[in-house]
Amino acid sequence: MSRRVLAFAALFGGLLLLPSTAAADSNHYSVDPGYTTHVELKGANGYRVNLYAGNRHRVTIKVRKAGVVAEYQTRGAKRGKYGVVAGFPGFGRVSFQFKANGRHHRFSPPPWCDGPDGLALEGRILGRIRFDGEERYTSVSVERAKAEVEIWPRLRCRYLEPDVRRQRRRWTATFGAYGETFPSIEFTAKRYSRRLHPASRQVVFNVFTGRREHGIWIHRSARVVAGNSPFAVPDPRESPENVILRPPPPFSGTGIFQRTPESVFTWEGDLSIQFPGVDPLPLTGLRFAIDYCAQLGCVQRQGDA
Amino acid sequence: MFVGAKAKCGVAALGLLIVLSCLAAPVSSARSQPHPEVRPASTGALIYFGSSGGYELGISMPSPKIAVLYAFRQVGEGSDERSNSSSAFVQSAYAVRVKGNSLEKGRIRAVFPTLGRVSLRFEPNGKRELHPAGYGCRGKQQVTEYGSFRGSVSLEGEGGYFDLATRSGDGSLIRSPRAVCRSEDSGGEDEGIDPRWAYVGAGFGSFIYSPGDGSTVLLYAAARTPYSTIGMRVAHRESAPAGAEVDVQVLELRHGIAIGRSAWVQSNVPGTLTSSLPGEHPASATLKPSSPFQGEGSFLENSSTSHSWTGNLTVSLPGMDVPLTGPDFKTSLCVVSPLKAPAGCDFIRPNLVGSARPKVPPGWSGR
Repeated sequence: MSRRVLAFAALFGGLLLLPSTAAADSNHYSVDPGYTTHVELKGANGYRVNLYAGNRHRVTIKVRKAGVVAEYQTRGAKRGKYGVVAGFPGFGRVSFQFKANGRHHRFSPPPWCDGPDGLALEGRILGRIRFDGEERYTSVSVERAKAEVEIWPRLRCRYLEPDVRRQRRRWTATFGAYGETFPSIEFTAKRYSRRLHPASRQVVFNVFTGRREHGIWIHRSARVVAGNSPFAVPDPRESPENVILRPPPPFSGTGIFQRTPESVFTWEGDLSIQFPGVDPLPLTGLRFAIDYCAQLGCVQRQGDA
Repeated sequence: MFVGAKAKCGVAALGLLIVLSCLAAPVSSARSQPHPEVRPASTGALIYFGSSGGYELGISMPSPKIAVLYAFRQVGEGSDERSNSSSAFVQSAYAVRVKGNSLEKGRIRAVFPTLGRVSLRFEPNGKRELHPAGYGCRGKQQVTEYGSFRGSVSLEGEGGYFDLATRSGDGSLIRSPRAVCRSEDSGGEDEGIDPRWAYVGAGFGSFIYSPGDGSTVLLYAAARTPYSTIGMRVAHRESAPAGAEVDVQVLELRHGIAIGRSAWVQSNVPGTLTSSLPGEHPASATLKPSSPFQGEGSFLENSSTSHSWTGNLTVSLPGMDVPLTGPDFKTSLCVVSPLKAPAGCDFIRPNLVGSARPKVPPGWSGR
């Protein structure tokens, strides 16, 4: 799958494929016609900065480096046909127009959608994009840059259902810690089957958190793939419920999940995630609901509200 | 006749208890294949007398030949699933045989030895309901008539824990016409048990009260004498906060009366139940439940054929305090991991073992 298709799929998944009008049946939904202006930039300190602005006035700046992603989302106003004006209080400001260079190409809708092909216009933006991350972990400031506008017609798409059975076969253990109180955090670790390639005997750690700061939504996430050792079950026969997690950076510390003599479960330790420019976020404690599955069943713990 | 809200609640609570008790009652058939069975015409009654000494009181007559007196009380606060609190119910039930068949005429005459007697006549208030003959039955509809039972009631619990002297109670009379029913094997009937015990055993227990999660820790303690049995079930459900569900039932037969006393506690108080972890040996557990229990009990698995169950644990049941530890008790402890046994301990057969060493026949050496 080409990068373009991937980018388009991500856009659809994250921004646009919200059921917008009444679906023809319960298995499908329709997507109104629209567009997204996409600008790809290089930020300081090795970060990639992507800007997306759509016809629904949502403007997103996505900053990423080595599996760590920070997404800043606000609402803007239209400037010209495909340009936008939006403020990111405390972080910067975006104001540009799009100028097409005459080149364009067509692209197919995602496999789960039916409809005519979309149209991608190539060109550049003229104006200003200025953005500084927290503590200036990255920054970008441009007055013109290459850009692309993707325009799609009305689409009819089917709801995607995860194939649970297939997923169940792939992993041998999953651990999830969910902090539902503010700030919401979701931390998961999945250990994959040894027969699976290329993820054989690998553990995938994910963390996702979101909050509203300075009037804008900021979502941060990280994904790290490690060997088997950071997901340790010291005594799988006698005490399969006791788990020790030591994921690699940007995580730090250790999380320990244990059954107590009262047959309740504790989730303790100094495990935290370090997102760029902000204080480390603790990933253990009473506020986390836990869902740990391995062998034949699952263990659940409710978090303190 | 006007029936007050409190009386309605009492009747509802009592009705629930009776339904639960009947669910626990054995079925009369013991054959292995489904077969048609004729259910003769019968009459039943349900009467609510109000409260005395903090107990809600009522009489149920599942048939004209059996009368069951119920005394029911809630102890403590209502329990929130997540808070550190507990709520408890205590109940006693007394079942006696009734002579004659006067219930068909709306009359009840029952003697509860050492407690007192009732002599009542039913006065309908005109309200009646029709119900189907029952699941798997063919026959005319059951008729429930509502009204009052009037006459005299004089009953006193052991030690005076309730004292009831009244001339009336609200209730209903249920007439069930003859029906042909499909009967199936009950599977677990113990023919040595007096049929009256079937009506005094409480319907408490995990399969009725628990929301369906398996128990990851399950402790049983039971003692039996020729005229009484004591049974206790302590369960910690998967995903539940610290604490345990404790269910005690004492059944006895004396003076021609079958008595069932029971207590049920849902305790979310930390420290109620601690145990060794799955696979840890020797397995051990300590139980320290809240009111109406006092003291604590300690379980220790000496071997697969010897468990010790010691301590000063007692329970205050209606009319008597009952010790719940000692060498007469046989015990069983199950501690499992939900990862290895997703259904928990509930479907694992208890290994009830006493503290005495088993006698080894000559020529055998214990391992």
